[in-house]
Amino acid sequence: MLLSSFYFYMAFLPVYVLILLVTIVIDYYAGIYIAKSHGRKRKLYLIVSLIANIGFLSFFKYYDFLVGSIDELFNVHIPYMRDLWLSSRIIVWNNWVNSHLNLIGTDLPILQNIILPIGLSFHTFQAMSYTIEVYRGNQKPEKKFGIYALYVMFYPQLVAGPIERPQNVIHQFYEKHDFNYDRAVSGLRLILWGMVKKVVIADRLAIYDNAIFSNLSHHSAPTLIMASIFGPIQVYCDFSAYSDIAIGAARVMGFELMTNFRRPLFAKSFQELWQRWHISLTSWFRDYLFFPLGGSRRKGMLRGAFNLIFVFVVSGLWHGANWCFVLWGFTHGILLVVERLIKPFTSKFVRFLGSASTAITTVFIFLMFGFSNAMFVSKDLHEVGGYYKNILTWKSGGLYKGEPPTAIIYCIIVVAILFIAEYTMEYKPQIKLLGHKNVVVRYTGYVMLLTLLLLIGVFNGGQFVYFQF
Amino acid sequence: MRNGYFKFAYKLLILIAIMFVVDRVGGSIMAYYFEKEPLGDAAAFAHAIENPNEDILVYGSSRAMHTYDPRVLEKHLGLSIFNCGRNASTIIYHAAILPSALNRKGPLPKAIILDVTPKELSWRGGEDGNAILASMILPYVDKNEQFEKMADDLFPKELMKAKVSKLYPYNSMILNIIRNYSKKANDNIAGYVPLFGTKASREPITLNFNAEIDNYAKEKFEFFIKEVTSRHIPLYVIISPAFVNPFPDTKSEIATKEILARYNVPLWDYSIDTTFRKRKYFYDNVHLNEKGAAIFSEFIAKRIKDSMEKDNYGVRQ
Repeated sequence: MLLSSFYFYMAFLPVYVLILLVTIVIDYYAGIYIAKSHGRKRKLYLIVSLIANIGFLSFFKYYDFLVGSIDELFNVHIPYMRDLWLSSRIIVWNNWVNSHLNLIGTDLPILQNIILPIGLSFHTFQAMSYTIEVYRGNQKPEKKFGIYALYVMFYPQLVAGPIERPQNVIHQFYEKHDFNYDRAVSGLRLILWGMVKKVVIADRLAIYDNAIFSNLSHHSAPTLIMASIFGPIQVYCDFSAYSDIAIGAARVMGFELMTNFRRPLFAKSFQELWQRWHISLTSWFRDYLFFPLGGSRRKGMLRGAFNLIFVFVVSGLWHGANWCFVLWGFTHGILLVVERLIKPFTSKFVRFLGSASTAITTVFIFLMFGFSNAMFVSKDLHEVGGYYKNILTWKSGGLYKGEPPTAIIYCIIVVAILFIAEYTMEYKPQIKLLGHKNVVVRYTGYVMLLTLLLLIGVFNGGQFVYFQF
Repeated sequence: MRNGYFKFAYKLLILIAIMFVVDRVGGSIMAYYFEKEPLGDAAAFAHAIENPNEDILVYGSSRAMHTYDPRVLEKHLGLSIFNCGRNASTIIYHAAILPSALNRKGPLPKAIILDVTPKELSWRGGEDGNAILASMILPYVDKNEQFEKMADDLFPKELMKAKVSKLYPYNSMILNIIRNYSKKANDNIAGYVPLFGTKASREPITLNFNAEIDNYAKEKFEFFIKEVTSRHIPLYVIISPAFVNPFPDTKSEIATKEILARYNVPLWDYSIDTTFRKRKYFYDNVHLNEKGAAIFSEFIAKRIKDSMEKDNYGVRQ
């Protein structure tokens, strides 16, 4: 399994496996020494591990962002990553490994910007959760190097999560995993639904969204509103599809990974939204950053609000080295703080609305999430500004229907499919299609989804959005 | 455990068998409705490869499809015309459908018009270009050897998928098929599809056409020119107008001219001709609207007529 994970990772950019190996070795020994030591030494080993992980992450993900920001603010020229000696070495090493091992990985052309090691943010956070849990005494240090390496590199979730916790996964590597029919079928159903979400829904919406998001500020208000509705659905389907496929693939092999999404588009508050969206990351920030900072109440309301905003800004930065992500995180932090502040009033309002409140709050949260999506997908703040300006000033112009004009109809159809499926899972869980007792209904479900894949799936080799993180 | 494997394999086989039947039946239904489409790309394409019996045939991308009005050309030339232009198509596609016209029963075409873009030989441009081309030709790979060979050359994986699944070649086509059954009949006039109104920018825009040459496209362009000229069919290679700022000759244009010069075929370049570079003639910056198309078609018809008379090609008076 470890060898498969190595091969899987090296299929992207072979040389980056060395970075992964270095952090694995550091964290493996850090875990052992943390458990052996007491007092300050114990803390020191944890700090060494955290510095190593955050160091690699910062260098590859944030170096150019930092250099660019310094250059812009202070007009101080520091070499960009592509100009560093290390970059040219990485390119040469990568191409050498590629040619000698005859892998399917990519050659990096000289002088091109070096690419972020794939899944770096995910496996770095997973590695950090191990040393922190060992430090806290919740996890015994792993003695077997191969087992620890597998914990970090387990290939179904290596490049885009879920970001696992050692307590949930490591013990499973010691267990015997015989073939289990029910487990395999359940895993394959999840993979099938994940494929539909990715290929039929996310990639179909991407055709429309990419045309809009590539130049947000040039489109009319109706088009931008349409893109604000499709945008979060696309990101959700893209990322949750990867999680479903990862969890499904692991389940077929006999492993259980944590749930990463619980139908977040049906959230009735921002707090609930983040309890349903990318659960493995939000719970990581909650456990390892938010609570250690004092949480929301332990040090007073004001400090609680600051903690919340700070954590969301960091979460924004986790998604990418770009001021748009920082603004996106900041906005969601503010929205959560405001939601908490006005909760006494909104509770009364919700009671007043009665049974209609679920629909109204769900739609409201979805739309707010959609309107913040411009910050998530834009390349620069200028584009974000153009987007909000065009909506607020109601820039005239018709609704862009996509190219060909049937593109928007496909989008509406796939969104309807998603909402019917997720509504049923959320509010009518007793109704099952793929898990139905009647074999005819069950097989009809399989055939319908496979036919959808063949007829309206988008097979242009689109990458998963979260691979870039 | 062993029982589990057998049960799993058995049920998987049943599912594959059901899916096979659904795929074959569904694919046959799609093929039937696709081939019988009264309008749209498929209908124009079917004519272009099955029955291209007109005197003059027009080839080219959407710029050809929305530009050369057969009614205007027929009026001035007194010859029958069919516009084989197709959205997002390039010389690679047209080189593949040309043999249908050259090997047709009866006399050869009296003339061929090929509308090229300033980036005609650069277009293939990787995955996206191939994906568009694949969506056009996959439904025909079973019937047309040229297309099968092209698919094998350019996207063998897509060809394999189309061989395995009968539904897959019609991927993303279902709504277009429905649409083409319900549209009004004047949408497509002998392959020409008029565009109405204008959405072009107020002023001409600057476009970057200067991409690298694709050797496969270049090879197909030369094939097209050679096949037509070797049969002594008058060939008019035209760059139709665009609402763009003047730009230096692109790599594609330079290569196009070099090839045409070898076969003594002139290039009629109207890409930035000021006679036509008026916003009111354009639907968007690169496509003429019906008004612009009518004026340009008339202009081209007269020029072709002059040229044919001069070279004694026998235009009806």
